[in-house]
Amino acid sequence: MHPILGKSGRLGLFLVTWVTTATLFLSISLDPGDVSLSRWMLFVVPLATLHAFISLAAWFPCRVTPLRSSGLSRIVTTHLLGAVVISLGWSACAFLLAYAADLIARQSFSTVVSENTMSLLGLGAILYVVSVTLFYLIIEFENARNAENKQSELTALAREAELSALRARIDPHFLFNSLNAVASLCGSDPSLARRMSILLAEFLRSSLRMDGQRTIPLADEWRLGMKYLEIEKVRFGDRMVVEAAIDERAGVFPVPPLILQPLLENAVKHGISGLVEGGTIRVQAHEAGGKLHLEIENPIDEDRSTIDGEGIGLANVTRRLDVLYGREASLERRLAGGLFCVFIVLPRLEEGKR
Amino acid sequence: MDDGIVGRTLTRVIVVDDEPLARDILRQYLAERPDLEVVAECANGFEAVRAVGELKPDLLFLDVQMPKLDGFEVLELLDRRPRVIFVTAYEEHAVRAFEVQAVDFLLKPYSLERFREVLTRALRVGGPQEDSRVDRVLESATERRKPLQRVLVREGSDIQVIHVQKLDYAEAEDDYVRLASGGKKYLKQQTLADLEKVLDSSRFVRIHRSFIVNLDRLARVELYAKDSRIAILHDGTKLPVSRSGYAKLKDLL
Repeated sequence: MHPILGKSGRLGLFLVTWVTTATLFLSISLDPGDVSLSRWMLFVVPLATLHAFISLAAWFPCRVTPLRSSGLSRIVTTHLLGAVVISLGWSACAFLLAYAADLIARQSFSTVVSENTMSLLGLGAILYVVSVTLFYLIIEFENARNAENKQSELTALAREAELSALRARIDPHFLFNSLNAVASLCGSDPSLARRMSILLAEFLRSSLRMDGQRTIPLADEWRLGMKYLEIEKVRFGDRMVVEAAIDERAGVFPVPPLILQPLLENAVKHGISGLVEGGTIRVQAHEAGGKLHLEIENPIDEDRSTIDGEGIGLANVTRRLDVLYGREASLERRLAGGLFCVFIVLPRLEEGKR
Repeated sequence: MDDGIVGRTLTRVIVVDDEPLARDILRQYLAERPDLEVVAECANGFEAVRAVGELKPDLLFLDVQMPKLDGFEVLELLDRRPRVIFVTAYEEHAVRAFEVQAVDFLLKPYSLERFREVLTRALRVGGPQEDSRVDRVLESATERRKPLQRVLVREGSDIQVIHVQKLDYAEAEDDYVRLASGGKKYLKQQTLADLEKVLDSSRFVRIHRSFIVNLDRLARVELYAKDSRIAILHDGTKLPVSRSGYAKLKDLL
């Protein structure tokens, strides 16, 4: 959209400024000869107004030849052409206007105009250059503002992601239930209560320490996961079994911190805790073709499962993967035969790609 | 019954929680009350419904989040409800309902003092007023779960969970509904109107004063006599369709 034509406030301001400036220029540079000053102004003001409108058209060549992406020669040629066309057109209009004025006012405007042709052409070209400068300024200003908006949007998005990551990390439900277990153990098994509170502290400390790190080796993430699962095992007892197979090369593979954690929480919250008999959580990771393949499987009560609940944690992980890797990472889920399975494939995160 | 709690008789208690340690702390706290007897501990909703039916306790400590049936569903299935103290970790909606209705609840983890306070209150107050508060908590729980995903039916100590996808139709029978699912029929104490309210109205249609049908089961509707139609289901079952029921069907199909 045209930055001035589209907004009536801007258009008014532009016209007033432009007409005044152009009138001033015309009065200074053209010699009115024997035409009286008041009549001369009656000729000059419409001519200046005409130029104001013609100048508005300069926006279009500015838009198609943006300063940043066009070569200098292209910019120069475009606007040289623009200056010639506009000053010729405007001067031609001046002649027509002068002849018309001659007929109406019986004065010799046309003589004055023809005597000042060169000044008129020059002035037209100069005013064109001024208008081009103005439009480039407007475009740059708007670009800067857009970039600023985009930047603040990105910052907001990043903060939101961090917040939701934090929520995934310290699930109040998990904390309250664990603390309840600690309270219970204080009476029945004080040494286990001590162990449980230390595990909880370690879990919280490691998850806070991961904050702000771009990537961590999968082994570190899994250490946190094991702490979490150990705490949950105290709560659920025999109902929960964990089997993990993470090969050596997968262990050193860099992953975004807390990418596995929400999935383990899901496996407990929506899987094990909903089953009377409980079951086994299986975690597998291996590297193949330069990519990390991660698999988390848990049994689920298909009568109970609502995909919604499962979806929140997963949606979170999916979104983080999307932000960090674009289309290069994939997350798939499968529910079959009472088993819920999540497959993740991650490429190596390149430096500076955040 | 409600007056029977006081006096020298032992108050019978059932503890329901899927986590052993959560049951354990209740037992520890209850140990200081020789006037209370824990008659059963249950690890899931099915066990709880069965135990309450058989042992008829006076007081129930009931966890809200559990496998199979949650605490609210357990209460829904009980004929005779003992006094209830809900026990839950942070559960935003449930806790709000508890507070609004002033029913007894413990938030995990809870102190011995809080436990004593809630227990004393639960043993003292009671009667129909308390019952209606619990009813309202159950209503708000049902409201949150709408549309209904599964219908629970209890026949003696046997509990059936019928997924609404597997429900063919429901038929009114006085204060009961007869639920037809895969050739079997189940009787549940609920009015057809109440069932209609909680079912997904885009899939279940009240085609008649006495019938709700699952649209997925509907094969066709035929003119039976002048101004009277019947619905024929995929399995051949024929159900009457009232004029207003037919209008609803036409709107949806």
